[in-house]
Amino acid sequence: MDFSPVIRNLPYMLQGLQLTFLLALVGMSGSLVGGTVLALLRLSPYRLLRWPAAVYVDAVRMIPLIMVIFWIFFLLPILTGRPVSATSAAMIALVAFNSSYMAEVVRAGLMSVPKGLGEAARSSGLSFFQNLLLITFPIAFRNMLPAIVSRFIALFMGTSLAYVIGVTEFFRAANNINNRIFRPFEIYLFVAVVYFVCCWSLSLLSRWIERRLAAGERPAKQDQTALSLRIEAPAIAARAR
Amino acid sequence: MNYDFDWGVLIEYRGLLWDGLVATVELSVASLLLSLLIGTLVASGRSFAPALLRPLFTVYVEFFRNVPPIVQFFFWYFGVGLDVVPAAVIGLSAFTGAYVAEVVRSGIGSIPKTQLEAARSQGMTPTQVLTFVILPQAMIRIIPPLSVEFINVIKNSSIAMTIGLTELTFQTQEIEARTFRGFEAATAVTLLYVALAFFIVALSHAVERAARLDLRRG
Repeated sequence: MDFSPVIRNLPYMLQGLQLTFLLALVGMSGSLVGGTVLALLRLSPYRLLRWPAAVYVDAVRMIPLIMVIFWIFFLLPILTGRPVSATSAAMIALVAFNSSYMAEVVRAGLMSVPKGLGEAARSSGLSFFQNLLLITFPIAFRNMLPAIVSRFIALFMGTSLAYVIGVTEFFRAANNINNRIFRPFEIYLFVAVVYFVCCWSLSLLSRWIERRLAAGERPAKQDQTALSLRIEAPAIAARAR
Repeated sequence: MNYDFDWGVLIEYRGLLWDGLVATVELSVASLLLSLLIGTLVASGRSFAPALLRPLFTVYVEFFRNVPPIVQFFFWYFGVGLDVVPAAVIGLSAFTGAYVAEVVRSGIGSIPKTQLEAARSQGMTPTQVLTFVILPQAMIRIIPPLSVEFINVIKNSSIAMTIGLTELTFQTQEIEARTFRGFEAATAVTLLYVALAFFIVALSHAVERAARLDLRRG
């Protein structure tokens, strides 16, 4: 084993890592928005809004991310009539794919907020969106946080699949190096360790948040008069891929 | 949008699609079985192995589930130099095994400790308690989450296309390369994945019902 070629090519790979982070951040912010919209649609009282959202969320979760990436890559040019860059196709695919998982996280989070709280907010004159933004979301978000971080880990690992349509993110960058110097054992081991360090520190963060939240809830439990906000963290959504 | 759909390519290339479906199912079933084995061993190890060895099992789980499957495939295929199929099966099983280990561990944790104590005081060895008392019950309880893992295995098996395994997603690209009908091919393959997922949900319900009946009969 000789890691010096890996170290010599580090700057190039780090450039790829930057793109990986960019893909992950765009995917994350996009799917937080997309997931919230889908979750709200799924919880809406109107069947016409509820059903399409439910079909989208359930269908996308049944197909592999690579398929979604191909879909966007093949479909968008047909719809718009001109080719899309691989990077934007990857970003769109990551958002479209992860929105449906995030929708389940957000839905579980919203449903974990006691119904009376929203009703009280509405009856004291807050509008639908005021209630959502000021009352329900802040509480739901707190319960969702560990699951959101878990989703972020899955999303981060998913960015490596942008490789298939030729995006030079970290994995493809490492691959390009390997094609030049042919040191597959060292290079892929190094790549694995880098992904591991990124994802594992995120999972430590998620566990830390969970512990902090559990600690913060103790006084509320003792106070019988206060609204009990202790709700199970959306466990179903945790670590789902 | 002016694109002439030509669904005929799907009939023309149905052989490719069928081969892909078979390869996907074979890879997924083999990997699921192997990852069940890995997961059960690792979870049992984490709960019952001598305290000094336990961190090893934890390290396995943490490492293999935090490295993207595509990297694991490339490592086994190009790094270690295995053939395509073993590399795909090992890569997918090692990744899924880490998740299955967590599922099995939660199943083991759901069995009351009193059962372990009762069985031990009857004179059963720890291994006997694990294989005859705890694991049979734990396995039935975890059938629903395991079916989720099965669907995940099928989805992740698509990544094996990157090392050249000719499964379903690979065939999408193959049809696209031969006919430029990527859209039609992607539609067909997507529907096949959805059908597989539905089949597994139905299968897991059937297995769960049968297993519970079996347990009641004793």
